[in-house]
Amino acid sequence: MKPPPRPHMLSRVSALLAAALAFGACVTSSQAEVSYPAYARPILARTLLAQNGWTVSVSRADVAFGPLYLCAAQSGSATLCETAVGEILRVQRVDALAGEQPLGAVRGLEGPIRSAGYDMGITWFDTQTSATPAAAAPDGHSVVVEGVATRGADTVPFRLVVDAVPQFQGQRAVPTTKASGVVTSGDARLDVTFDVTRWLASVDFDEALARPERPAVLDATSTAHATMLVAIKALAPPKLTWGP
Amino acid sequence: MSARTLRSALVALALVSGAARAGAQPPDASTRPPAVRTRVEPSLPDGPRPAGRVELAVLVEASGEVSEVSVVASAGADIDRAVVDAVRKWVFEPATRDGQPVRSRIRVPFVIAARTAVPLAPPVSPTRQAARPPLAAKAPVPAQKRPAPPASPADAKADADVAPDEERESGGEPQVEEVEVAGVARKPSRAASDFRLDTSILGAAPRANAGDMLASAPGVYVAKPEGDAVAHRIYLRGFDADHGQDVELRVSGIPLNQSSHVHGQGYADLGIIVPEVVRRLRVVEGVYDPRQGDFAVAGSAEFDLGVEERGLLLKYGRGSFATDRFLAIWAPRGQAAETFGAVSVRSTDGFGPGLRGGLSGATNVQYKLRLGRAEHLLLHAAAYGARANVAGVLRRDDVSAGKVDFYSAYADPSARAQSAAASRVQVGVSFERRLAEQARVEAAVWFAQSDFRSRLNYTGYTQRSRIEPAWVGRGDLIEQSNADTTFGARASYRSPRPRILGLLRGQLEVGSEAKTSGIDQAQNLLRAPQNETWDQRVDAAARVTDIGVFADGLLSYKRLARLRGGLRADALFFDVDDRLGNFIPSFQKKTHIVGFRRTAAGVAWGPRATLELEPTRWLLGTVSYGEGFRSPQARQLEEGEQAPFAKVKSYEAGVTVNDEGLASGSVAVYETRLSYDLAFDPQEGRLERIGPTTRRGVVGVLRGKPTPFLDGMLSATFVDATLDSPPPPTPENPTPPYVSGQSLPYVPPLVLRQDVALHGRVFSLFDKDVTGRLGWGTTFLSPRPLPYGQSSAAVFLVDALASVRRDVVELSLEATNLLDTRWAQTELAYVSNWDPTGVPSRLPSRHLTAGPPRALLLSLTLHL
Amino acid sequence: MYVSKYEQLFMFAATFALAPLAACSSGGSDPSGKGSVQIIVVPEETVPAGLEPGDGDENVKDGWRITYERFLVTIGDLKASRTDGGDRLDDPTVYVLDLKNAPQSGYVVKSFADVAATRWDRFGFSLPNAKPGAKALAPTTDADASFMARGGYSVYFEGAATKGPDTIRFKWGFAAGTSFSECATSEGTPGFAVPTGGTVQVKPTIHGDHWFFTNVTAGAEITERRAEWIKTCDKDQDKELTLAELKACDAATALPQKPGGPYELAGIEDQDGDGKISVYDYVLSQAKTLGDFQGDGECPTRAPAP
Repeated sequence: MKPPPRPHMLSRVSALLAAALAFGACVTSSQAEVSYPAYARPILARTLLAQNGWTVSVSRADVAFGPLYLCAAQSGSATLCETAVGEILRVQRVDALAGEQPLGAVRGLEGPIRSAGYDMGITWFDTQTSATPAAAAPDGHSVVVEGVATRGADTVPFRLVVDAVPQFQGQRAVPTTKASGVVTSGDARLDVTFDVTRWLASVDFDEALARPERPAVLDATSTAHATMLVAIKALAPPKLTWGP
Repeated sequence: MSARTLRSALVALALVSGAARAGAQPPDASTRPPAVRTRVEPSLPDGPRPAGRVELAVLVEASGEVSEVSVVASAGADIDRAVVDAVRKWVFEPATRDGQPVRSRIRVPFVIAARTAVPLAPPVSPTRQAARPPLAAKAPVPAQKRPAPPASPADAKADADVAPDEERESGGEPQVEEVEVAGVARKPSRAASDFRLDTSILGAAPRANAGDMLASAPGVYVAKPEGDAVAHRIYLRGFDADHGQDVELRVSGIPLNQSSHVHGQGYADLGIIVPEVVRRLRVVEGVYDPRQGDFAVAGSAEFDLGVEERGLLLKYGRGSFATDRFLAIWAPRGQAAETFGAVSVRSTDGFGPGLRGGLSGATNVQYKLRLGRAEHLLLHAAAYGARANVAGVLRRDDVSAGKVDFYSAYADPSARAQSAAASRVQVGVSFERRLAEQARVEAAVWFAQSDFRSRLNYTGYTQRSRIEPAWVGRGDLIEQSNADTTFGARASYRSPRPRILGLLRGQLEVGSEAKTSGIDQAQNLLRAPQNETWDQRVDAAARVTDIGVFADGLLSYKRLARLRGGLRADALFFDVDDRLGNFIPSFQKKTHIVGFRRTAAGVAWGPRATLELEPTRWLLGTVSYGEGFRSPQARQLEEGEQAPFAKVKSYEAGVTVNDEGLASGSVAVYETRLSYDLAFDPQEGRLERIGPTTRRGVVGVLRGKPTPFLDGMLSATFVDATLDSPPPPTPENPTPPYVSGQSLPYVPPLVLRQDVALHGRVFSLFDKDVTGRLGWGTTFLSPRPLPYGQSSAAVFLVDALASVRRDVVELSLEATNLLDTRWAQTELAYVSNWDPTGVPSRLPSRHLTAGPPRALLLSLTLHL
Repeated sequence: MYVSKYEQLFMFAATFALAPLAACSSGGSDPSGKGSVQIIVVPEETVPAGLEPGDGDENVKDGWRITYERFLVTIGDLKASRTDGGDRLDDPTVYVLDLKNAPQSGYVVKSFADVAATRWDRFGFSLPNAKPGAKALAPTTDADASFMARGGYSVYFEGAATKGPDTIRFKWGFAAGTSFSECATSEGTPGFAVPTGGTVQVKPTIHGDHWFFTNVTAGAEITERRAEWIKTCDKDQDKELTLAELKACDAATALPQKPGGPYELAGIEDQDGDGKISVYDYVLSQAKTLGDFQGDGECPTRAPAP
């Protein structure tokens, strides 16, 4: 009979395995997860000049924002940004008459951000059969502005609502917009600037004046709605900036 | 310092420096003859009788029992009968090869004296056997008669698959005892990581299927996350080989990998193998043998089938989750170990609440037909079928939040509609003829037909129809189908082994291997529960033809040095009928008829070489280099494209130390570089191309067999697998989740494995020995890196079995995941949406497939 | 089966001589042959054949028929490279091409010979603003090239929109210079593969209908074709829609967005800097998206190409 293996061999094997185990814990990876705050920074003068000589005094301005998806691709469209590098999934109501206010936390990954896509309180996800306003959307709309428009002797209290509706199922209301930032740690913050002044400045309130009801309601059938929507989506879209 | 002390010290050194291995040439590669354990004296007829001599040919089974006795030399009918009757009652310590009991044939001569019978030279007892020099401790010759030493020890070592007949003819003093041990030729080692696993290790722990056997090979981790009807996912030494893309798998010489399979390149389903008839598993980690062909990127594994214990075996088991398994093996006595028939059927409800039910069955039949003294045919036929429901993946955050149970599945209709089914039939005929001076001719033809269909949802609700882009959110239930018919053939000639320039010996083998596959495949999206097709992604047919040639040479210098190696070249031809090619998007003007037929071809070739230095019998140094390849997925080729093979370069250096059969150890360092790698893309449910990758690591193995009743193997493999450069962005994947230098996802950097088997006589019951077996296998996986900087948890698993056998009856209890560890078989990170009513996240999230909890299987076996 | 010792010696020598030779080689995955590349500029079918009214996804939904009488583009700065190596293919030449009269098989603008037979996974090209020196490939005339250079156009087209009795003509040139890179087939396969001893045909494809889309597509083209804005913006109703009229045409009314209309104007910037979003801004934005690859493959990375 041959002798059994010597115990010291086994003990050395154990030591080896322990060392290898410790070594195995060291793996290299990238794109760590991060979470950082986002803030809304609305720009809205209580009194501003609109089209055709109208002066507008605003008493209420609520903007719905979200969900937001941040992309490393140059286009944030759903078919070119299947994987986001950051997102805010909740819909936040922004009081444009207030100052800076939190939008929630961005959850995502470290790395560059080159585009974004977002909704403004009305979503049409892949699994939704129609565009649907979120609970947080002001009165079920993307934007609600109330105030008084004045031009000379004409004074028109108004209520302007805007619905930013996705064009088709599975699309964001704003499928893609340029964004530029690099997130290297969770110390970052995202500021979203809403230039509501510029949005309202594009509206001609002659249409409100012509309306019989007071306050004049400018809804999705109005020219003001179409003008505001172009301003929100193309002329002065919310601007995303990253800072420390 | 004595030689023995030095040997022991070196074994220890190997362990300390990296680990140990029981690898390429363990000491138990030797062959031991049977030895008598219980002898019954013949009861000779009364009365006067002349002196004489009786010589018997005795067949000793692997169990030690005598199954056949025939008279070679007679001393008269009565005396012959008496001696035969006595010898039939003898019990032997069976012959062993590689430490494993095997069937053997011996000759036992008796000298008949005037009044009694005395064995002239009975087989040695175990004690004597151990005391004398090992009969063939260094001669892993498959069949050996007259244990005279071969021409030189070096030759015996270097040329393990030498025909015995020639050696017998080579001379040596006539011996009284004559032993022939049945078995197959042992192929020469190609690297320190050329591992041979025998039934002792393979049988240590429970194996639900043949794929599980791979887990005992160092650095291998196998999982079955997509249910019983989908092939294993194999992780080998830093490679995520998926379902076989990086591991060449063969059974009885027939390749299992399927070219251009829709579910993954190189898909290979090991379900066709009945695990109980696997008698040896060779795993080559790396590419060093010119016989290794397509898909041998991380390495190759070959299952050798044979049944040592002859007779009829019937086994029925009943276990957890309403699992029933029936097994029948018929190995007719008097036939070669390769001759048998086996069938197994398994049905189960699967773990979890009725989500993983499945039925599978396989049959393996082989017949070895001896055509002459040096020729034989081996007929092989196997069939397999399986269907199983699939629970699918779960988001880890949903599990943590209690939205879904770890062992359950989403209640969503699309998640509950997952299933898979597969079948395969294969037949093969191989011919071997041994020529003079160790030359040999081999040839084989084979045919295989396989079918695959799966309905799997990895991502929930994220996909948009390509055919009708307005269709979205109908569930990402990916239906894949793949039908494959393959013909193959191979032939080789090995030259004699002459002396060259006096001191050197040389040998050359040339061979060719060809196969052609006709493939029809499709991939669609289904909407559950209506089972409506809402998108078509693939509809294609392809023919892939692979013609490979190789030359493999050997130069040996005494027993000190051996250089093996040569070249392999494969020419591959592709003909693709892509019925969705030149697709016209819905919003485009119809300008042509959809479809794109194309052809492509290419040649992949590379050298392989192994240098072995053996300064002493117990120390072996090996340096190996080789280049291998993986063929491309046919559908991804363009017209006239030179087939872009994924090319791998393997380097390895290792040291093996044998401690006279008690233990062996080895340590090897290696590097593999892959020109481009593939990673699983959950959105398409298939493999997609990523960039070049590099793996560097160390593997150590310790194999110990200190007593006849204890056998163990321990291995540790560490690998640093990194991505060398990320793939370019594409419209569908503009932000590849990979960066240069990052750890390769999904593969565990550290894999530890232990297999231990204990067996022996426990007690006697009614004059019969009761033997027992106890064994276990443990696996440790370090945390696996995932994309996006995530990683999975470490895993520690224990499988164990215990059995008792008296005569023909055996009762066994098998336990898998004995500690009931809650573990994830696979973890992936990607975007999904399993909540159709919520706000979908588009961040990559961790997904898991639950590993099976503890499962018990109680089996009753009859050995008839 | 007898093999002489001399034959065996030869076999051994051949095997072991070949092994190091192979070890020094580049191996099978690297290019071992050469091939050719043809760059062929192909117009989308809408350029020569126009767009038909109808209800099909490929039709103009609001009843307008579009025909082009002249369609010129500037194309050049062809580039290809490989991720796995430093090789590059470059041709900085700029061509002016008449796509309305393009040869049936397109314009062969460049051929590269002795190119490594492997996959070139990075391909891009530009539709730059024309400058003097741009070459005209027949049947494009030198006059066409001069015309494009004078206007500094990347694209110029003339044609008419017809609906019932209304026919409105247009003649527009845009300096919408844009480079397109990381081109991939519609299957997502990046770049192109060169066959050994053969020719791969690489086809930058120029689309001619994007200004009639209802959104700026990126990735999958999920859109409609509409042309009513041509009549809306023809304020003087002279049946000739000029660029000046386009600039004066308010996008908010001519291109109504949801929920009232079919358009999506997100991402349309004030291209001409007049402080308004006009239809001109919209058409100019679309003129920067004309470059596709191998039919409907995308070139997702776009940048200004002056």
